[in-house]
Amino acid sequence: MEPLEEELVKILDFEKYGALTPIPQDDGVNPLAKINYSKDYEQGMAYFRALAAKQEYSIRAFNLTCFLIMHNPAHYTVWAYRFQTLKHIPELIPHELAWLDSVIEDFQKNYQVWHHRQKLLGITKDYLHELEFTKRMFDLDSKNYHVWSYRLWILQNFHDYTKELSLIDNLLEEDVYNNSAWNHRFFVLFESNANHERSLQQELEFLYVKLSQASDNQSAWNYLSGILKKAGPNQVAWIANQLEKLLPSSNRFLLEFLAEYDPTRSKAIYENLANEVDRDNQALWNWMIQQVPQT
Amino acid sequence: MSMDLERVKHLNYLNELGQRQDELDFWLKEHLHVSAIYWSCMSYWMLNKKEELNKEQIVLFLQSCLTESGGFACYPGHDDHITNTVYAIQVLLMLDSLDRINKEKVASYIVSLQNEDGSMKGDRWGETDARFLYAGINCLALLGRLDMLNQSAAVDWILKCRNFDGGFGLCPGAETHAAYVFTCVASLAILEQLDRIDQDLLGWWLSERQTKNGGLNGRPEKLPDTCYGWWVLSPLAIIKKLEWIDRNDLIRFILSAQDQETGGFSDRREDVPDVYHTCFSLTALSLLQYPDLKPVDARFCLPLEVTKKYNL
Repeated sequence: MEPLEEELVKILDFEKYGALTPIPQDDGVNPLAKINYSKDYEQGMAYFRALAAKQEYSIRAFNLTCFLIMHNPAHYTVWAYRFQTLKHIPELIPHELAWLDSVIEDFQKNYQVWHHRQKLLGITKDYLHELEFTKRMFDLDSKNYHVWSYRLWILQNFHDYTKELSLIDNLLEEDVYNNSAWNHRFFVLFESNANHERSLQQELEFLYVKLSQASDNQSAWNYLSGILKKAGPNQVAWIANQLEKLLPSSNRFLLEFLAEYDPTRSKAIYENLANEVDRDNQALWNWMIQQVPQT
Repeated sequence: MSMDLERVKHLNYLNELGQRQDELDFWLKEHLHVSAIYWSCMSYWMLNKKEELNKEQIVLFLQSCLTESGGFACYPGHDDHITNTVYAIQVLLMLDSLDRINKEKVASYIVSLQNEDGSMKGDRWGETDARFLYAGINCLALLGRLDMLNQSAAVDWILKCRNFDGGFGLCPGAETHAAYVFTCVASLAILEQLDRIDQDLLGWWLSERQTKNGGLNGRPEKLPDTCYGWWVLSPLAIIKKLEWIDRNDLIRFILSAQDQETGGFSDRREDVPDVYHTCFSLTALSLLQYPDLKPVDARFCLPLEVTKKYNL
């Protein structure tokens, strides 16, 4: 029998909480690709299984989940048990966020840590703190999909959209190509129940400025296509006229837009794209030429 | 640089998966174990080496991952989750061994995870994500119990995940991401509801994923990664627009991610290989009809001969 690692001796505190019989890993019959554990993790898990078997939601259980999570942050069973322990010992909750903040940099792309945070918010209801937290996370990685999903969840559950436009504007100032920011803009202005006063025309003006700064911006062009589905013919004409000012251009998105807007020019523009401007995508443009109705 | 598919090296890589004790973070991967079995089975099959699979050993192990709830855990003694469940069922189907488990119980487990709005939880703790709905739909189809799913609610929810760019995100409002495009489009394909989406717009977005070096990324302005070979190509294959991607450039990119020493594929050249990227690099090459690879069913990410055999 291997002696227990020192850190685990402290965590498990048998004197205070009582003895515990560890449950070793059951690898099943003929273990397939037997996993090579580190000794302390293997021991920690053996005691975790013992605690889980008797449903002990104590401080030592809590501390053990911390130990295990630091070794393997994707272990969803351990996260779930940690959350149950927090519900049994609510005094631990205020410290939980501080601990999560301290480990988040290592776990930025881990599903479990974000789900845990979301469940915690369901208890604390301190969504303003969490909105501020996601904003800080965007400084580290402005496109982190988990962070955006989390912020989306906060908005859909707490309905406070007042900070969104300024956040998006700032992110687009830093990086006008940030697809996540463009997506969020569309969601806030056109799909959410946010109260805002942006008109479609204001958005078109905003888009024109951004596109004239960087006309190769896929995200902005997709956004434009999206909002034009909600626009009236005058608005479409307005933006088309504005965008004409960017010609002549070898920008395939601009040319594509103009081809769609004015069917009388489609074929000529697609041919230009296929044969000169965007030969890489010749197959696509040739397909588009086929789609143009014969008149 | 011209490069071939290093079949022998990849087989060595797969054969040694259980033995590489020196990999630093290998011992962290308990939570990925059932997934790793699926990824390695698919890899062997794509390379036309399914006879190397120790069928009995795999089936016994998967049986030991079954939990009381009817779902599969990632490893014996762990909690059930829908992702482990679909991987396990996919592997059991590939090994003609679905009769070794209680199919009805697994189907009931999956259905118990469907929410009222049509979406699906990953497990009883409630995390909801389009991946989980796909896992549930895929799994129920393999079990022949799609009738137990609330299909119209599922389709309605998937369509709510659709964005202005024609793609799909993790949940309604979330940014379009290639992995979610795959899960949503494949879900709709299995449920025979592809006519509900604008396939041209979607094809456009997908074709835009190809970067200058031929690789595919998951969102605009992000780096290409071999696994996006699968996430992007499979929906393109489903909507019959595979030719919207430059095949040769992409093949070159994927092959450049092979590890010439150990075999296996990584996310891009000179990174460390792993069995996940190996699986999806091979399935992507298969979709691109790279010579001498077994064909794959884009909807299920299973060998085509398997889904044909079971009339899926």
